[in-house]
Amino acid sequence: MQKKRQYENAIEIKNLCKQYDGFALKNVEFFVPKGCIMGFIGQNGAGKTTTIRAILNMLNLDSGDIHILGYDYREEEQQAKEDIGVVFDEMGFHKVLSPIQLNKMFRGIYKNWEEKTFFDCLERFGLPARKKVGKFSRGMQMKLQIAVALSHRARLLIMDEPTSGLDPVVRNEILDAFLGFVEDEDHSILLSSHITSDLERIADYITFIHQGKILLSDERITILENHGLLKCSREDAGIVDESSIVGKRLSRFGAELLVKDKEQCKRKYPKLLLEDVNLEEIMLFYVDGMRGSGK
Amino acid sequence: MKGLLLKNVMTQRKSIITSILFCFGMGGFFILVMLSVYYGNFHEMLTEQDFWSEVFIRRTAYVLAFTLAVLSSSIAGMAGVFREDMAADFGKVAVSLPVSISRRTMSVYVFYMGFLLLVFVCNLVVHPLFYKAAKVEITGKMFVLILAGFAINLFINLIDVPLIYRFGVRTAFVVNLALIIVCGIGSLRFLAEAADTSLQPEELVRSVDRLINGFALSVPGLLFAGVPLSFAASCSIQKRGRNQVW
Repeated sequence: MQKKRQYENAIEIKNLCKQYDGFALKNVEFFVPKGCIMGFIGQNGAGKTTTIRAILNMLNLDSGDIHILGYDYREEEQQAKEDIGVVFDEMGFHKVLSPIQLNKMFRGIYKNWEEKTFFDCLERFGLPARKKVGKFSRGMQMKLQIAVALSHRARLLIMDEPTSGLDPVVRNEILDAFLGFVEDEDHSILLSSHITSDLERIADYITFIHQGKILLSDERITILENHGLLKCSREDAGIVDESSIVGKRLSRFGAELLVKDKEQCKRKYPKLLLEDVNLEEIMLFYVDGMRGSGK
Repeated sequence: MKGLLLKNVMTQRKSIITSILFCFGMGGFFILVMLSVYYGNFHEMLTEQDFWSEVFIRRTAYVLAFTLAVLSSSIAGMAGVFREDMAADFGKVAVSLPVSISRRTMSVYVFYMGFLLLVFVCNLVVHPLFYKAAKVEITGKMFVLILAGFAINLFINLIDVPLIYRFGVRTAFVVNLALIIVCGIGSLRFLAEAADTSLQPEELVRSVDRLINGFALSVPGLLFAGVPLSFAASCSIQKRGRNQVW
């Protein structure tokens, strides 16, 4: 058996640049620590899928280095992909095939394909083995992709919007499967989503991309602890130091300011109301703030 | 690669079955035509117009045999694999698999060659039955006609696949159509010139024979040079990131 590489980060991306007409990834850099779930958030068109395509070597990059599970992604692509499971927002399996036929296909592709694990997953997810996958509902298709990803001893799951369009029951089931996957400290997940409530539930780290640039990349708890929502009058909003404001919302009745150092603002402005904030609000304020500054 | 090859077989199962049934069905139809030439309505028609002769029957049998080879092999193609893959959006799955570009591409070519071989074997079963019904002696000409028919299919597919990778399935279809039109115009021009120069029927037959023999003789060249060249072009297009398929 091939000896596994030693590595600290499941994914290391440095200075990733890719230019398209009207869009560019600009010096994208972040790391997914081993044994963690990284939530990758951003608006539609922010660059999440393009970044994932770059990780999967589906693009010719202008510049940048990518290491996956200790492998150089261009020089050792096949070895790395043996250990990666990928889940897309839309299933890419042929509709005429059944899970039994898919098992036969993947058995001839992955060296570490585990047929028993695959059929156990099918049973656990309640998926019929003989039914053509074209007749599966969206939730079933997503669960099938996850079953495939979990059945070849993958150490890294890369998922592009796996829970979008799913009902809460199925989403919960899938998120539980992800949490079960990372119980092994050798396993990691990169999960791209704009359903921030899912990421608040399971993500250890959050990376926020906007217009091809990384705005934030840190531990989820740190991001939530550092950011706060200052609620005050428009006059009071004027006295708050601009350098600590990420974005603001002004209305006739008052102002809401997202600040990036909650503790400092508590000390400096003790009379102003400072509330906790969730990921969705952080994302909205960052986007509004970027818009306002013309970036 | 084994898994992708199996995928191709599983998704193209209907095409494979259709191809086999088409070969035997068309063969059966042509057998009926020849039986009619000997015993049925065609016999009456040909006798009335003084066309009935052994030479004419033999030439008719050769034309039908060649047509059978061309048409039965036409269903065997690589475009079907790409159409199914694109319909499923399988490209993104394919690039996430631990299979290199060359092995991914090889699975398409190996599938196609296997498909073509299967249809070839079906032709080897059908043609002798046809010749027996046509009361035409089975000679090396039978193999020449089958090989010539398959050479046309092979040539078109070896051009098609790099075009599909570079420009997509629709463009390859348009190129095929253009090729057929050009060949059709070329054939009509040839016949028109033959009529103009009062070419004797025997001369015409000899020219067509030379063409058919040329097709048949091109098969080794297509297999040993054409396939590697087509494969190399397909891989090169994908490695440069210009492919429209994945």
